[in-house]
Amino acid sequence: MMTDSVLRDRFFKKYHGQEIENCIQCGMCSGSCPLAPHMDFGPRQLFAMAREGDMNEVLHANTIWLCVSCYNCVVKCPRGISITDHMYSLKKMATEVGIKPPKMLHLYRSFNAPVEKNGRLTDVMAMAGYGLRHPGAAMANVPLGLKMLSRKRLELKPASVKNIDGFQRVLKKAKELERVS
Amino acid sequence: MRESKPKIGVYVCHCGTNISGKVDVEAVSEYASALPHVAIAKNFKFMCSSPGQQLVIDDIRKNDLNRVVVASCSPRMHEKTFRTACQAAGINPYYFQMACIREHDSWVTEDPEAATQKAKDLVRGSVARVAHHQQLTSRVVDINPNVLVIGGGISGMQAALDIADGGKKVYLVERDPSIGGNMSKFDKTFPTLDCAACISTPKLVAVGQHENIEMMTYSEVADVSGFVGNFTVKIRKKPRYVDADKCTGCGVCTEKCPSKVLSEFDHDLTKRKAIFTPFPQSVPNTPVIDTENCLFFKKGKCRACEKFCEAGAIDFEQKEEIVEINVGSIIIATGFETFDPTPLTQYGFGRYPEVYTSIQFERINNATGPTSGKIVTKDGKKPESVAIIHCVGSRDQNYMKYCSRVCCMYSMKFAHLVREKTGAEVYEFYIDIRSPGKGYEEFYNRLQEEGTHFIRGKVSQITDMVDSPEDEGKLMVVAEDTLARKVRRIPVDMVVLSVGLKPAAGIEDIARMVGISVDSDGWINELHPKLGPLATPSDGIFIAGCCQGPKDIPDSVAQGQGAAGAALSLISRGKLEIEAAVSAIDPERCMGCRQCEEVCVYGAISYHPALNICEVNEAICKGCGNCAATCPNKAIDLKHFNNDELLAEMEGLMFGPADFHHGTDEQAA
Repeated sequence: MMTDSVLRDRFFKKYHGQEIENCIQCGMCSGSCPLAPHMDFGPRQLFAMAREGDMNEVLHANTIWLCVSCYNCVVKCPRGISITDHMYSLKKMATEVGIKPPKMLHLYRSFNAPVEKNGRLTDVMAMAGYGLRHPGAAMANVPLGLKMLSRKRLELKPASVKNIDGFQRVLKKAKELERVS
Repeated sequence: MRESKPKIGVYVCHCGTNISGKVDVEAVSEYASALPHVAIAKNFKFMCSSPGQQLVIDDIRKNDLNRVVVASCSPRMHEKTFRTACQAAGINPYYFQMACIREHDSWVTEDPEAATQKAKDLVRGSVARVAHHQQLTSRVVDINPNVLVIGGGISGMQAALDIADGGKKVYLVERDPSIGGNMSKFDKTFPTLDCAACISTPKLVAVGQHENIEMMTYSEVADVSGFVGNFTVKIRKKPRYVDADKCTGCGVCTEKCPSKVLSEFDHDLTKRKAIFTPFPQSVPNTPVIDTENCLFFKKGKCRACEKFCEAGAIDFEQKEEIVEINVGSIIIATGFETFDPTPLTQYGFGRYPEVYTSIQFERINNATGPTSGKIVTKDGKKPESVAIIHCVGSRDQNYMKYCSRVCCMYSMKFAHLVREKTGAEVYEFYIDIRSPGKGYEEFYNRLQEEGTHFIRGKVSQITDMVDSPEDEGKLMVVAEDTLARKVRRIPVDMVVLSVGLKPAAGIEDIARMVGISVDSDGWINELHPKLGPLATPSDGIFIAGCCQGPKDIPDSVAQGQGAAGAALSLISRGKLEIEAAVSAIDPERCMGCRQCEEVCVYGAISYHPALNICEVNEAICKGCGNCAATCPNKAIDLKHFNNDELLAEMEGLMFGPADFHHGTDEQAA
């Protein structure tokens, strides 16, 4: 495990987390967050901890995984902090340092896999990816799936974007740029 | 004017050890004595002291010196001192040059040898320059003793009263139909809770009755020209359509007027008539007709006011008038307006009827307001709980990044009034409580003792989606209680948005007319943030109150008095000396391209179409040199900084005495 100060430094410099130094702790983000009641710490508190260097606690918190990227907080933040972006950075850091990811990580990855392959999301593929790792959770979702199917809200055949080659070139370049940074 | 051969005296100052601690002053004066045209070179402990100045004076008289160089501190410190000494000894003060060997040398150079060398170079430059100096004389102009005050709020009224009491004539221009400004809308004032009307109404009356104050209400400044001591101002007097001389202020016209529109004074909470006075204590008490809503102006029919006016004061034929006045000084006191919270959709202002702005809530609390001072909801019910939300629009980089300074305090005043009048629970949602001021923190403590709920967190949402059926009809205020670390959802009957302050609309036009600037938030820039809070870079233009930034009433009044003092001290002088180091345009060379006019930040240059040349107003010119540098025809010379002088100084700085000898003799001889 890396020390708190090394992690804080990496978050601030490599991931531009330094911006959270601007936070005035007004709580607008936590008040706006639909998931805040389920979080270990609201975003406000998470940032207060991160800037004082409690990084291991921050990376172990469920907060970063529960963020649903609704951007409610970002729109209202009086200091213009890109809260959602920082949540992504912290998720990334958590996986980098090998913190045992919760189920949420698998969900994210199941979402990402079809996007990387076809350039767009297909419900069935995402569900299949997640279901293989968490069969129990998958079974619990079967009734919902059937209901969606009956209303023609479930896409069975994986569709692809028109210019899949172009899309993958963009993706490749993005990954390359990320390695450089 | 040609002078006899330059005979220069050079004086090197020790400045205690400030200079001599680093620079070998003896070596510098010795070096100077060998420079061309130098007759005398000395060094002395403190040149600025009386004996130091006397040394210069005596030498000028005894040795017929006609040029002086003092190598000491910055010209900002003592240029004036030595110019005065030169003048006292009988030579033109502009025959003096200062070499800065303290700020530019001894204080910033580590190595004594290098410092001494630099001092020699600087002295050499100054000696070369001073040989080319020309005699200049400053002009003296009369100062018009009248003062214009723009804005009739508490700052402007106070400034006008103080100047008028000092025996000078004041023109007070106010764009609304009545003076009084924002303060006349308030009910109580923090932290003493005295009644705003009780303390401001006497001021309104005093202004209205003062023999030295000429009030121009419902009027706007249309143009300002001239310069310090001699401004010419055009005032646009909007037609009231009521003859102020005939009107008795009986109010029958207002009563009979059939047209109703939302009241600006009550911030849309009530309706007013198309012929109206903004509030009962208005000064003057003469109504105005709002032509946009008057049936006669809209449809050509009605004239009810005219019919019922016994004094025959209604005059539909009135026209806009432009009045020209002359003043020596101008005080800007245009004040503030409140932030409109509509863009913050999460607070539902305009959507939920029980969400009010703070200025609306002032009106609700005021005895002349929509509810005659009772705190009730729009259904007429007494509220059981009220939320007050701080920092609405303020401290938010999406709107106004600054703290509006007064909201914490007026919010707590509201909390007190709500508790006192209704007994309702009051929730103050704040980020930080800012209570710096006499008796302010004590007021905060008093509110805590009164049982106000202080919740530290910015409200993220106000919604009518309640959690339980018994709260139906209430508004839910959602915020993280950042100290208790939980999200609270509190049902309330009324919400007050403590909106921030922003500069009054039109402030930029006024600033442009008088040649001053506003900051990125729109507030007027003062001359110096600490030592020139009421002055501006334009001489004779002063500022007071909220036009410079958010302020409470005591500060606004203090600034009004301060600006009055500054204006009085200027106009009391009677005469004004105008700096001689200004630019001059050679009419023979000027081709009328007007590029100089464009770059002049002081508006000192004007164009004569008939002659196709530009001219400099020396009273406005600050000698910055923008025009001289811009002129493509080299028609402009900046006196005391002309090309001869600057080139000679540069040559002197860069080359040794043997080289810069060139050109000096034949030109200066």
